[in-house]
Amino acid sequence: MDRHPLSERRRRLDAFLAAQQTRAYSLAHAMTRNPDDALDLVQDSMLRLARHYGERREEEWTLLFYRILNNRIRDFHRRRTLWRWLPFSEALDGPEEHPAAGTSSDDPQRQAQQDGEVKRIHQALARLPLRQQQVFLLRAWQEFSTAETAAALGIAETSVKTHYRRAISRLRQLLNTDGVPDEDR
Amino acid sequence: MKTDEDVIQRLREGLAQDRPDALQHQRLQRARLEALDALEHGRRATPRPWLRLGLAAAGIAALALLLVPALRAPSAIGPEDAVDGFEIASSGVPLEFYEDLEFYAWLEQNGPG
Repeated sequence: MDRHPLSERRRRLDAFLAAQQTRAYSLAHAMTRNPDDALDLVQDSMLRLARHYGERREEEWTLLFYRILNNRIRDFHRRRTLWRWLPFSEALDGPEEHPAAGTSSDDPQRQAQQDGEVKRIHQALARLPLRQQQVFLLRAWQEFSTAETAAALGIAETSVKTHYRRAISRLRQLLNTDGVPDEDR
Repeated sequence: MKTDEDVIQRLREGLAQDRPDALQHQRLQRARLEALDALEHGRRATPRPWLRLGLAAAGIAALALLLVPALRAPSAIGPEDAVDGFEIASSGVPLEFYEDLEFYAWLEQNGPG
């Protein structure tokens, strides 16, 4: 428990969230493939971190935040799986795939290439089991260590190593030639 | 791609291009502000675990204090009354007759004849 005055904690938490928000969004977007869902999940994770762990030591925030976010992403996928079993859900289910947001570029061709690459990566990641996606993104994108990834996901370090190795191997297959997953050709 | 590092590098470069647009950025800013408000609210509103446990225990004790005497108290209606009530209900005599029973008793004593 950290006992800084509230204004100081507020300032520190603001700086922390500002530093994480874009990366967290990219991570959530890669695992949901829907920008609105990704934003909702990041927003909810920020709220939960502040409400429940805002008074914890600042050094703990990163792991806590990504643990919350990954749990929310897991819940999101469970809900979607359940939702797909319900009758008439297809008619109400929104489109899964949205164009990648991307930075607005002055060159439309370049922008299209960037969007295409993001989409290819999202498609390749979507072919992995959720746990492999989580492990891969925390290790490769967030640059967490094996121990940090294990702590963030609440699993053993040996599992992290296995999931990571399998994820890389599969992604290498999927993005091997021109980057389009074989199944999507 | 030749090595694992190539895969990782490509994924990193690809995901780095996936940045929120202006509108999404605004939503993230708003989310941040809400989270900061929640920090203040959370401080005031979230009770400590031991306090929550204490409140729950006190609630159970209060409920027990209310329920135990009520369960142990003898019922105001005895078994004989219950049998009488059943007989009245199943006799087929209109209930008004029983309501006016005192009147009929008085009539018998003081009536003509």
